Amino acid sequence: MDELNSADAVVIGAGHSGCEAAKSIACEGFRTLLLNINLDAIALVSGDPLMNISGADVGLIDRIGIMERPVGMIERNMLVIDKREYFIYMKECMENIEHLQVKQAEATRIIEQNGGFVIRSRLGDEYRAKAVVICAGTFLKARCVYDGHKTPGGRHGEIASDDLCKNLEEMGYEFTDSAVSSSHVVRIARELEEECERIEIKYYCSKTNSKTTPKYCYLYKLEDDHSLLFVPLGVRSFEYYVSKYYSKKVPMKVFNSSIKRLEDKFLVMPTRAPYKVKYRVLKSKYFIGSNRELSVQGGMLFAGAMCGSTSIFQSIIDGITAGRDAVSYLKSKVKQF
Amino acid sequence: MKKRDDNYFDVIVVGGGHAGCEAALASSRMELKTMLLTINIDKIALMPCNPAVGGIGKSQLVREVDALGGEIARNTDRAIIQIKVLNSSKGPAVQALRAQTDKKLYETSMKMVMENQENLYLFQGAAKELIVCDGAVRGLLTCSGEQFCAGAIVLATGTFMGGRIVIGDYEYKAGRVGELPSEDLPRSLIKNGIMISRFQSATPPRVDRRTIDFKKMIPQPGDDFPLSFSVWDSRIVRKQLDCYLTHTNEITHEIILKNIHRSPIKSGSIQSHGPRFCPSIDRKVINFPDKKNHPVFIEPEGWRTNEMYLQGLTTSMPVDIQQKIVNSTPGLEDAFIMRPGYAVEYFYVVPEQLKSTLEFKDIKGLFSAGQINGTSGYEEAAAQGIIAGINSALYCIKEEPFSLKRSEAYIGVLIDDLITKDPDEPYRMYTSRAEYRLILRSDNADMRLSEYGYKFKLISKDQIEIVRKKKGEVKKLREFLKSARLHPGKESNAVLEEVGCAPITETTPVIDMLKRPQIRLSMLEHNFFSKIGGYSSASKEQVEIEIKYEGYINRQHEEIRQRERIEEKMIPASMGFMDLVGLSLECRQKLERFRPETIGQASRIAGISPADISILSLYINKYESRRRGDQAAGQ
Repeated sequence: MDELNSADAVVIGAGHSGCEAAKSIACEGFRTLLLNINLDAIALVSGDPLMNISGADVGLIDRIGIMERPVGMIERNMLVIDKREYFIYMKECMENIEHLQVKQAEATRIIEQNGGFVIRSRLGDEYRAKAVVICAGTFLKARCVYDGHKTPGGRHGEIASDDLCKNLEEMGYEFTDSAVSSSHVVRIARELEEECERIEIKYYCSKTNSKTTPKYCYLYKLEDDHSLLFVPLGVRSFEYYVSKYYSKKVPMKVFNSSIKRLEDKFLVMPTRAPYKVKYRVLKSKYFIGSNRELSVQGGMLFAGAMCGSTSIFQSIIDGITAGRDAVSYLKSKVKQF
Repeated sequence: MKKRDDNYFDVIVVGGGHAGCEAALASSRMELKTMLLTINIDKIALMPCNPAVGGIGKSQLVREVDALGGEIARNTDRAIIQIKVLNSSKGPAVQALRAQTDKKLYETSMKMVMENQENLYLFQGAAKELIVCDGAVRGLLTCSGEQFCAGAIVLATGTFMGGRIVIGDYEYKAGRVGELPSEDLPRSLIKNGIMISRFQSATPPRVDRRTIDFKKMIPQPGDDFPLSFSVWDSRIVRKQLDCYLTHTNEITHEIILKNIHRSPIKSGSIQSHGPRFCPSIDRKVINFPDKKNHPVFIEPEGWRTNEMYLQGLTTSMPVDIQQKIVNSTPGLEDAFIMRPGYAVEYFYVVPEQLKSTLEFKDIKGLFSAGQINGTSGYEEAAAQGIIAGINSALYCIKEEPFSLKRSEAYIGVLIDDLITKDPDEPYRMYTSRAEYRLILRSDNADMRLSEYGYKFKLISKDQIEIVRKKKGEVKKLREFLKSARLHPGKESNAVLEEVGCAPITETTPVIDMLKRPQIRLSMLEHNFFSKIGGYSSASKEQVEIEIKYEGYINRQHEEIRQRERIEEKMIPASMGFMDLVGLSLECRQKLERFRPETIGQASRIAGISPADISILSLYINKYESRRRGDQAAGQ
């Protein structure tokens, strides 16, 4: 019983960095628990499904195995993630790693005890660990802000982690405000498709999408050399994410007005309104150096969006780094005894 | 795709669960501009509890929704992990089909259907406030500030209205784990005079497949010849996954009794009622102290997950006790709980405020369907969803509303029970609730209801032709069996003796032979009448059931005919009841409260006696003749 609830490391949050951290620790043979508020939201692509991997060396990409995940490629450094397949794949992957257990629990309190940690969940269950990696993403004291309206939530409709943030503040960690905004998600009419340049995505992975028809990104040319890129949310989805960051950065004003114009012409039908998530990030003094090298605060580590990373790929790298740091911490602990 | 302009929609469906999906599909297939508003567009058609569709009483509902042109049956077929016929040794009225499904596959394929549906717009947002003017609904506001106008609105919010999760001594506001509840909408309903109350529902823990010792359990495989739910495009199930059976024991029960003070049902943190028919393990142990064990079925949640659902171990005890309960069960000694079980308490709309069309009696154009009406189960939700969807569309095009009678469908029974009874627990369908269950079988749902589906354009010309052809075949085969005779003789009597049936001495109509329990139609076909082989197996099944149970079926038809007059006698909506002399006070109060649409509905309200009904009929006659007189005088 107690054995089930104690581990070498507990990772809080199963987003992009949490999954990588948990995987790196478990693969070194350390018993790891990966906690997430909701097991139906693992490695969720909450914003842009485009992943920029420029700057990463081939060895790293190979090691992460990114090419084996349900992603497609539109150009050399740009990968398109199949949102639903990626979640199902990552959940399956996490569930089958040896020494790793995934558990639905919302961590609300971390207590330092006997050189280790006790993590308490909202429902009163407790987990013990020698090291803890916190990857709370955009959920710390998060608020969703829509055009003039504000609701609590780490993502649309999902409960934020207010208590964990409060607890970390009580432990002496300092936070600062940050925000990330998600763009419009729409369906596009055939007329618009015909006006767009089609860019074929080669989905070269995932178990179920091998037999489906090819999928395209649609590039719509605006005046002034700007363009809008519509990226599909997946092989089996008809929703398109209006990516803001592609080739030439479109100024926000132009972007919004062009979307509005296309909506008015009924060429795009919105399915999800854009919104901004305001959340808390750790102050940068907890990081060593200018890179995303994270410090080991006596076995407590942080990674991902709560440390300021703004893209999926950054979070993945961050998670791996935190996992590696946790491993070296755990190894040093083993040596001590 | 029609243009989405002016933020106006004919129908807005609030909630993308099993009721919401059917409602939105029905109204958009009826060519009305429909919007499905859902808090999280990634969770459309999520199955938050058991990974299964169908079962006794429920599979009839699924087949009926299918016959009307709904999606639940087809979508279940797309996600089947295992399928079997329950009660296969019993009569056809209580036989049922039950499928284990891959939850993620179910969601993904339902979302694809929704996204591909002409006239249907999906939009992510949470309803905040209804806009009601002059007793009719006009639109709604969302939490993120959008305003939409609507001809009709269907509420299908499931457990999200004022949702609160309870586990042990802990509780927090949520619609499902990790998901924000809808706090503003219930306030808006109250403001509009709608009565709401609270119910509770619970789900068991899920454990990691890798930590289960299946050797200690009994495998529960699917059928060797798997059927499918939908009659429209039958898919062949090729691969199936086993479920497993184990039992709790005295140690389990000891753990529960020792910690019962920590169960929310005992500690008082849950006061609302939960479903009696799927009690938590805590309640089972308290209520049945003499039972030494309770069954636990272990069901996979999908092809690609290790999560296993523990049917029978529903509990909202604290997580540490849940772990002990699970680990005391054979085969689950080392099982790791991936998701703890929990209870959720939520607001439901007191269903007596609804008409049999699921429209509110007091607010025109406002409908509600699913768990929000105090039911439980995906099937019950889908059944209400399609009715609310059809009626919201009919309301928009100003056509006669549609409802099903108790004698026509389980759906009719479900809705009639909801609006005439005072529920004290979430409603679940059972075969025993349907008094005409011999007629309302799942094997004849298509013949009973497809004409309605066709009338509302929910099923195609080709589909209805299949059903009409089947009806024709059934009639022809019946006539053939009526006219055909079996002659006594050495050969024929040898065959009869072989199946343990008394020999015949004179020429006998085949139809009478078939009524003998040992005689099967297949046997007659094989030995005597090869002509029967020319009919489809579906028609043969129909004819065989109808002939074998003819006596009972005819009796039920006779009962239906007898009740027809009172079932169809309308009570004028404008009629007041409080000053009707001769009726008991209780009866008058109940009539005021429920405001039944027909005498039939009134007769089923508790507290109204047959004597009250006869007096009420007299008053209605008087009321109507007076009204006719007034009208004549007016002219």
